[in-house]
Amino acid sequence: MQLLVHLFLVVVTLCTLYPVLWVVKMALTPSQAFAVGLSPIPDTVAADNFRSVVGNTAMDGTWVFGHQLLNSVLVSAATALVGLLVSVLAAYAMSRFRFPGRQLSMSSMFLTQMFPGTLMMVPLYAILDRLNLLDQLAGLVVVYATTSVPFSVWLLKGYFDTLPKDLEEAALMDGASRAQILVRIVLPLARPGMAVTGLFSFMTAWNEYILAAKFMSREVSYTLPVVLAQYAGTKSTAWGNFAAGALIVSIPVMALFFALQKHLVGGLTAGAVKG
Amino acid sequence: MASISFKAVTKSFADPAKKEAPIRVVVARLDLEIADGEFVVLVGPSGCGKSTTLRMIAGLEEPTSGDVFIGERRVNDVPAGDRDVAMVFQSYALYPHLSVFENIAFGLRVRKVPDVEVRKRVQEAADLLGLGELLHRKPGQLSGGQRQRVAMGRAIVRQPKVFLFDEPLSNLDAKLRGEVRAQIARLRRRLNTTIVYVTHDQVEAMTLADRVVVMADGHVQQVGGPMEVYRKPANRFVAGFLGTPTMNFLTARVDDGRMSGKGFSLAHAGPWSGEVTVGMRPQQVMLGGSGLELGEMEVEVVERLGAETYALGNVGGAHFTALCPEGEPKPGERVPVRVSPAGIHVFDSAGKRVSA
Repeated sequence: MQLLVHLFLVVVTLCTLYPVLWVVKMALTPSQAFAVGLSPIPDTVAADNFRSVVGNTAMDGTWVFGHQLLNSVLVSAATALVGLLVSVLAAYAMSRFRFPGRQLSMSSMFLTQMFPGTLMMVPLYAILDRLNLLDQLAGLVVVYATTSVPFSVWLLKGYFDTLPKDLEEAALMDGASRAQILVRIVLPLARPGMAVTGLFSFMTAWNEYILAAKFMSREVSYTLPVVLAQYAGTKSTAWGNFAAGALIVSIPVMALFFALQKHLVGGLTAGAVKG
Repeated sequence: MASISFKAVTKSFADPAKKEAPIRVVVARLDLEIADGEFVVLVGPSGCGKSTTLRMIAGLEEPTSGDVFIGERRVNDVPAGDRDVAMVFQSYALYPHLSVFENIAFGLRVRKVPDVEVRKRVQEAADLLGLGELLHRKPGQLSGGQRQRVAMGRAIVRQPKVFLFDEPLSNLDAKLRGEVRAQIARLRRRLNTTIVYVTHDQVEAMTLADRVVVMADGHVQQVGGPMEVYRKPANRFVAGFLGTPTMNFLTARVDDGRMSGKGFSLAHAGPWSGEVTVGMRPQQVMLGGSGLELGEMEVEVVERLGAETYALGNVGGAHFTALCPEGEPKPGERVPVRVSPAGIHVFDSAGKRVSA
């Protein structure tokens, strides 16, 4: 039985990995053609495509790829931070206090999640234009944070709801203020929830293409998804560069996953109340 | 140290989900004086309002009307942290991410007590509770009894005016419960502080309290010393709530100096008439022996508790329990029952005590 289960899992894993291996093969093959056989094992191993993607330099000698990578990292990290800061405070209030308009704000935040992102593009463009934030990284951060905050608030509120109230009451009796309770008791316990939320915001920003493509007009202000899309042109696609770029884009997210892995594991409140 | 007083305190909660009763009164016009240094136990079944009463002293609930005083100070609007009151929670509520040391120290840290002082006081509390070895552990690595002691340490270290205990033993197994109960009694003598203790366990109430406050449905049923409440329950509820096994109750009519009902008749007269309930603790009912004749009991089960043996059965169809000599009677037997006159409690049809 054990053997069968493992066999099944191995097959499923291979199925999932197969297309990924293809991408790896394409990236390592020094050609831009879409020519892959059945075998996902690369025939030749060459770093040409990676060199071409990473080494993308403008006429005036600006290292374009460097700018683009930095853009993506800055925008995604800032989105995660701003998003977390806002949503932690909002979610804590939603979870712990009863105030007029609470239910309404929760529902309307939920409502904003129901519209497709493309629908928001025109109004967002107009707003960013007024704010003089078009073609600015800060503009993207504002847009990404506003779209990720509602979801983050729901996620974090759900997490805060599971933290025992007794802990906060004990801290209140110990003389702690609400702010102290949030910082010293609630946030350390909410680390897994915050890690998930932060990662979610980061990835949304990291992968977002449509808004970035419309709002950013200069090549040096592109984020990586826009760069990737450039390789897939309407007439011809530079498959080799595309595959190499895709791999490069995936690496930071994977690294982040591994780094946050131990925080993603729950059970931190074990031992707080009862057994 | 401080006294506590409740003056006409009512606490109600809005319950919009229930259309027919949108406001639920949990504590109704409570008047209660707790003296400085007194150990008072609030006891009652769940939902009787005892925990809410405790939380109003703590500052975790605000009274809907009436006033709460700690010492001379009206505390209705004083935040929990400024009342100089410490509380041990039923769930212990230890901070899971902090070590035992930091858990105990937390209240001192937020009050910006100097580090040297914090160390000294945490060490003292830890020594008092035998927590010395555990100071560096996290709550998750402790047993239930140890967590309980950490929770007490966290309360003691602040040297508050009032200690509150909210069912502190209900998560412990029976053996440990006895140990910790004794420890609380010892601690109490060392600290000599006002203590309010909430429990649904009558044994804790009887063994720990200077005074017991029996509550039901938001109302105080009786206040008094443990033995007073046990010997002279003010009403049927208190009589049935305190004492194990539970007091026997038989419905009777008073006629010609006798109280009679189905399957029994008791020659015991007093200032009562009409329909009454006769209460008798199993310990004061004898199978055979001396005392007033009651009637016959049909024995169904014999329970041996080691030190004593009880016969469970019925008198005229009503449940009845009696203390009996070991080895007799046997299940299925019918035996005559006698009751000592001092052990007879009479309640009127409303449940109020009418016997002396």
